[in-house]
Amino acid sequence: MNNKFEALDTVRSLDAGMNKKKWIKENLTGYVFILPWLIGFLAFLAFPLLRSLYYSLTEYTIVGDPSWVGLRNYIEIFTDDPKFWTSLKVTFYYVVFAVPLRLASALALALVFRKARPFTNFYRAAYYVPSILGGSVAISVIWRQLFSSQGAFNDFLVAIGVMGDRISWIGHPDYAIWTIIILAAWQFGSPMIIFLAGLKQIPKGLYEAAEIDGAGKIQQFFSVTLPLLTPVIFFNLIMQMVKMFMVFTQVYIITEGGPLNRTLVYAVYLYRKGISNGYLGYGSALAWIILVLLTIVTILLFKTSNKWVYYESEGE
Amino acid sequence: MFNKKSLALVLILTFVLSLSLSVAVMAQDDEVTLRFAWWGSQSRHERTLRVIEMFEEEHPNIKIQPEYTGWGGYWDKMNAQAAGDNLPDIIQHVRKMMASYVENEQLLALDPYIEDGTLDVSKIGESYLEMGRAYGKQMGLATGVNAPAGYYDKELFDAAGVDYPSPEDTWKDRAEMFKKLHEELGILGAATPASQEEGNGFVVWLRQHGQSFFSEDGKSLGYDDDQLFVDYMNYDLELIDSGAVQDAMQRQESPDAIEQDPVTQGEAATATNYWSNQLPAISNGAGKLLHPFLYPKAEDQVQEGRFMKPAMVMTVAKSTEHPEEVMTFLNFWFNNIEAGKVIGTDRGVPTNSEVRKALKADADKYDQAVFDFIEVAAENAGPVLPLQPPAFSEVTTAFADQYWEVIYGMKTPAEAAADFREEATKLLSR
Repeated sequence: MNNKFEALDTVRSLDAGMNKKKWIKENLTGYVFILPWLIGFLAFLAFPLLRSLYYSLTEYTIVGDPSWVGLRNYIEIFTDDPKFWTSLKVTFYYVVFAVPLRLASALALALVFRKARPFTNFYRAAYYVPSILGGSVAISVIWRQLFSSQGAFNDFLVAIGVMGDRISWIGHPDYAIWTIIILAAWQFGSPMIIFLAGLKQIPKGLYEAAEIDGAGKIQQFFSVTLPLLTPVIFFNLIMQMVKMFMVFTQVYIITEGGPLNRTLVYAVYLYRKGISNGYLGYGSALAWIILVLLTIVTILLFKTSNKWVYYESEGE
Repeated sequence: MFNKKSLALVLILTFVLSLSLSVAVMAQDDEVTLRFAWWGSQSRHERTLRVIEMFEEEHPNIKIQPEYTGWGGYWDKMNAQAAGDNLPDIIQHVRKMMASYVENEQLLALDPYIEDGTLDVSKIGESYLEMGRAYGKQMGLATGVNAPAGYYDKELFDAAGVDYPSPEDTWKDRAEMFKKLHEELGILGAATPASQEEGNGFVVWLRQHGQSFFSEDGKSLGYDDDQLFVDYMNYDLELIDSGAVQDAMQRQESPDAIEQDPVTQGEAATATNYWSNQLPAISNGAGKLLHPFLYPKAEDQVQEGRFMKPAMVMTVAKSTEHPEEVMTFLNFWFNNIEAGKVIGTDRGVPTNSEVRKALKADADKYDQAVFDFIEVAAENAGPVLPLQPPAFSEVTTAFADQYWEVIYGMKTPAEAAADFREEATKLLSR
């Protein structure tokens, strides 16, 4: 309680506009303590960020010095770069399917693990593993094997008689992207943990009330669980979407953007342009475009959230 | 909470610590220090450090400061140092990167030092010297040479009763060879007909028809007749149709690692798109010696189109303050036989004829095969490839894009040829 009053005191004295010196003196300690973080932030985040903004306005190739070209990179990207549009299309396709699939599988498993059963903790941990491993090179290599024409996935489909002939899932222009989408769906671990936490927050009384009103399991899910979980769903949606817009490792290893650039996601294209081909300025411009795009999409999602995300506190 | 004094103390300590980290101690006598940068694997680092030790024993007044990394990041580092006017004195370079360094005047021309005898290149053949030239000047010395190579499994050829590939084969002969192997053995003739997606096979093909991939000034494509592209793609398409090589989808999913090429598993009788220094790698993958072979000739060829290339090029920064000492080191590097023995074939088959002789005398089976092959390649090599223009990697990507469109059946060769020309012209004229 005492602390609270002290804090109030500080606020009041600030409000009064008095004693600015005292304010600095008191807060300086705090700044000294966060100095390591602050230096890290400025040196490794803010500085590179601004630097890349500057580079995006220059022509900057291997060896040569950056030379100012204004908006030329941006103009070229929007008017004269068909691959930019291809990579955007591919990325949106990926995000639109992969995010809901990952969230759905995460939610489904969270529901399964909700009730404490023997070994539940073990299973929770076991199902979390894919999301730790999923972004790794090793898993990508295995994935590549799994979906190749001689791979286990084909063995399975042929064995159960779904298909007569083996298909190269990775080599087929229409299916290749789906091998990567499925890999994304499989990495449901971290949203699953968050869903589990969210499920625990839902008051048991609501279910009891629903049961007394005669609601079955399915109706309980749609009328109680889902609405009360929307804030968590929304959080997961944003986090996963941001992650997936930047997907790189899996695609780079499994398909390298092929076949026929059908899996050329944005980050792979950016890497190809900026690093492989050595157009650092152009690459920086590409990076800034996706940053802005991602911001816009996130803002739009926040706007729609008023319509479907239910916050308990609002009802009070 | 801190009082003013203790806060000041903390800040001072922080500054002192960070400063002391960045202070460099400098030796102040007659000793000259040269910086030498290279990339490579662990075994290359060890070999190179050993050579540096040997050199320093012989020249106690010259210290070599090694700066080595893997390939990844090496060029970022060099580029940053070039931008900061802080390049190492001696730089291990590659030919495809040289153009922009030379154009930006970062490298020292070696001609004056060769003329006045400071740098001894008498044991290095003319064709090897050519590999270090750019725009008519000697901008570096090739460390060793590589040639494009295919590999074949002798036992499978014997089983199928097919003649071994020879340097005199034509493209048509090779197509027949792949098909016959496929028919007799029921396996692939080769995974791929040639290395078109990287453009190497196409470069050979163009040169055989008196053309080149890039024009001399590097501002446009070096061939006018798209029929060359079309014929070349049709050659591939026909082989794919026959089943003697992988189709597009199989190719898309096949692993990049040379040790896993189908030829190492007995799933193909040959492999086509590799380099001579990869012989030990692919043979290790197969568990036996696979024999190297050259690209074929064209039936109606007007000149020899096959080529060799320098594995790496030793270059000197224009900013060096000690050119004399640098030449002393290069003399040691290229002409000292003991040094050459330590370096081995790791940077390609050495260009100095005496070093080569000494190495060959005690080479193992795989290295022996590489030496023999490089000799055959040298007898059958046309002029050295010109420097690639700075946009080469984008043009190669554009070529690969069109190549895939064709073998996936999305475009006809003629459409792809026109699209590639349009794209490449745009990239090169920028």
